[in-house]
Amino acid sequence: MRAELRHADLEELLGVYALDAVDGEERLAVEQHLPTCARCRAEVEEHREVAALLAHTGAPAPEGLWDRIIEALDDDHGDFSLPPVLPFPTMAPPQPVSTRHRWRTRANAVLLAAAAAVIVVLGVQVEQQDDRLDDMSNLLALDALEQAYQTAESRPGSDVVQLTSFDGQIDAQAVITHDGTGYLRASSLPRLPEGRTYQLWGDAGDQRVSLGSLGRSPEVASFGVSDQFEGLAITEEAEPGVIVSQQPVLAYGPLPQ
Amino acid sequence: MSNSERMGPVNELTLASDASLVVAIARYRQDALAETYRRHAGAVYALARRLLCDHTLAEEVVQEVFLRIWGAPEKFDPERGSLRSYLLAQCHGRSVDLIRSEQSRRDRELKEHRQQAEAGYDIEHEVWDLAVADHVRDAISELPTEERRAIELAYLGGHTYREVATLLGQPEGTVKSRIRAGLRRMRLALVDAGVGGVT
Repeated sequence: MRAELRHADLEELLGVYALDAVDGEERLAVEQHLPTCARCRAEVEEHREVAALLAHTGAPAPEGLWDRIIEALDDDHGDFSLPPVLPFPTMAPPQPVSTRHRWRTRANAVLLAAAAAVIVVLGVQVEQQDDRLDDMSNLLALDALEQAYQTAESRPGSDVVQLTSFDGQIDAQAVITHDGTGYLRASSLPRLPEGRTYQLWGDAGDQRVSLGSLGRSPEVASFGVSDQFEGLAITEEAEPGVIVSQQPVLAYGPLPQ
Repeated sequence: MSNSERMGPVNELTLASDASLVVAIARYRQDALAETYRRHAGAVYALARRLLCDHTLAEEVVQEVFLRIWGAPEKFDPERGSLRSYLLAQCHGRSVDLIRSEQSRRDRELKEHRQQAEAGYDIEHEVWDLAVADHVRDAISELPTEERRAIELAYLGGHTYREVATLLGQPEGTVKSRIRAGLRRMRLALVDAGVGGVT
């Protein structure tokens, strides 16, 4: 049995350890030491950053490899039951612009033009409650959309819109700033199976205007709001989304008038 | 159909930071894994292929690396390093495990000798990004030959430092020290050059 290594001996091994060039008892000794020594951990990471620069990007990875990875993914997390849906509400005709909320005029032209175009995949984050998120909480501060949502929420003049299902099983919250920029936080939408997506709509009374596909398990998305809209609605559609929805509304929230 | 086409439409994730991608992966977003793959799979595959000299084994390693980040994203700590270096370290470790089995070692050595005879490339041809290639090449070229060769054999050759010592005919302790000193010297040069990812 090798005698216990001194700290200086372990430090001398950090370079070769970072390159996987040490094995046996020495490797084990370093692995046992690292959890107890932040300085040595930092040095190993520094060495690995340098080593990463020595690797060649090469050509793209081989065709078919991504497909095999996808096939191998555990898809156990798609099991869920959607709550009952409520019918799409009948809306009153849009009111004159002058009586509407101040943010609507500016955003109107942009939104109606966008409504006729292809569906845009919005910024989406996921907020599925899951154990492995516990360890990732430090990363949430990096989420730009979440930060944008919080900034909008705290900004004077912003409106908060609550979207709920008939039975209250699912809900989402939107914040709309004075200039018509909206942020949707879809905190309790269950994860959809492969090939399905949530889609956000502006309710313009006699039609729904797509505000974007939200993905299978959204968290925060950004969108624009028109003064034509009476409310916001969420449906489930086939990926990547549809121009005209035939699906019932899963959650709905009226916009402030 | 290309890989990028299979991996779905471009969305906001193409602009997301690596750390944000891993957050999204932790939330079981396959599109985040796809974007991570798009950014880094080429480098991961190239390193595995370089070490293993076998495209089938290299593909298996790449698959394992990306399934691992999918299954345990919390093991990546953005405070400790970049996602690329994390993925490459995973790839390197797994590749080295594979090539240190006797059978694969024999196969590899045969291929390695053949490859060296054909291509004769060295570490200076392995730099990965045109934007930083000059800086990395400079940092490598500034290393004393002994340090450069030791790093080359250990990292890109997949040898232990004891094997490197034998190959170079130098004392084990000397090789160990030279690898550490060379990595430090390169890092300082890259920091001075302002190369991203090295702090």
